Amino acid sequence: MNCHECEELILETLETGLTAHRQAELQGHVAACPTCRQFQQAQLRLDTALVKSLRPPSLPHDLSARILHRVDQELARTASPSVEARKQAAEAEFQARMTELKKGPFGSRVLRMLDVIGLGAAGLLAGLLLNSLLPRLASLPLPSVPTVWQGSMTYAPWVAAALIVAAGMALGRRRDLLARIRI
Amino acid sequence: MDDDIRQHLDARQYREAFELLLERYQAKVFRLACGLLRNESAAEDMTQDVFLRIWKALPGYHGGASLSTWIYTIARNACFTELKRRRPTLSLDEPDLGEILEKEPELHVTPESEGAEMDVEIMLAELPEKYRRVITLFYLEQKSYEEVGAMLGIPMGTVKTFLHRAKKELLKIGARSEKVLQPV
Repeated sequence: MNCHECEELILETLETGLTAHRQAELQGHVAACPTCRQFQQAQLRLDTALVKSLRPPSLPHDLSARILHRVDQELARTASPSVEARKQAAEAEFQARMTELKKGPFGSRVLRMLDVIGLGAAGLLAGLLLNSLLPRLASLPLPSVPTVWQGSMTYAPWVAAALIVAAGMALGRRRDLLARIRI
Repeated sequence: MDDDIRQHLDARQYREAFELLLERYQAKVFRLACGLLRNESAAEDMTQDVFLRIWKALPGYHGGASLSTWIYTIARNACFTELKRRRPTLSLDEPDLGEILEKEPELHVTPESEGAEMDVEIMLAELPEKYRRVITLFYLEQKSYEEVGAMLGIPMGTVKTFLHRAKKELLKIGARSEKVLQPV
């Protein structure tokens, strides 16, 4: 055994231990070699100092509790929102958009006035159309209208126009409801 | 060893798997962080961060590497990132191993040094980083080559080589600096 091999064995002895045979071999060399004996003594002191200085730190007692708490926080943060919360969020978004739309460049009052004017114009147009169509229908070879109805026929185009406008408004209202349901 | 944890993972019972994993590895991750960061308070914070990362990554663990290897890799990388953050202007490049290995430590153990007390902290500070990591973890892990190798992701033979080099280097440092090795 040379000195280099002896040093390796000395280090191994301190780290993991040696077999009895290798230990005897090592002791034989160390007894005869003052350099290796000094190395052995120095390494023994170093090992003692390292064991003393590098002790495993004690684990903080509440570390796992703190870790689990952070995991719970993470879980709560990433949990998917409930259906109810999603509905509320959609409703809030719808209301916000409607408010924004109503504000628009002209304001809500102007829009309502335009609605009224538009509806009135639509009713007038429908009345005029029916007024011009009904006399032509009268000339067609259809069964004659009872006399009792003939007097009220003067107002028929306007009544029909009012019904058309009311139906349009109802349909518009229905579309608004449908839009809400879709969101 | 970690079959019970794997069973929970296979059943997608992540919380149960995590609790077992935490119980089994928190001390090791804490010691690894202590060994790399060399500060218990920082190691404690790091251990929390590491386990939070593990929790987030747990559904993505498919058993390619052993659980311990996977955990140590996450812990090690987190510690190295922290070290890099602390020293942004310094290069983290390790000194060339070949260069270090070529320098055979010369031991000049004087008779005066016999029985001397050693200031290990000062001596360790003079060691190259990779040697310091190995020797620190070796003693923190109760002298286990295997555990240190697993923690640092290096073969056991390399652990042993680094350890022996570190111990010889420490004696060199002690002999060179008479202030460190004080006669009793």
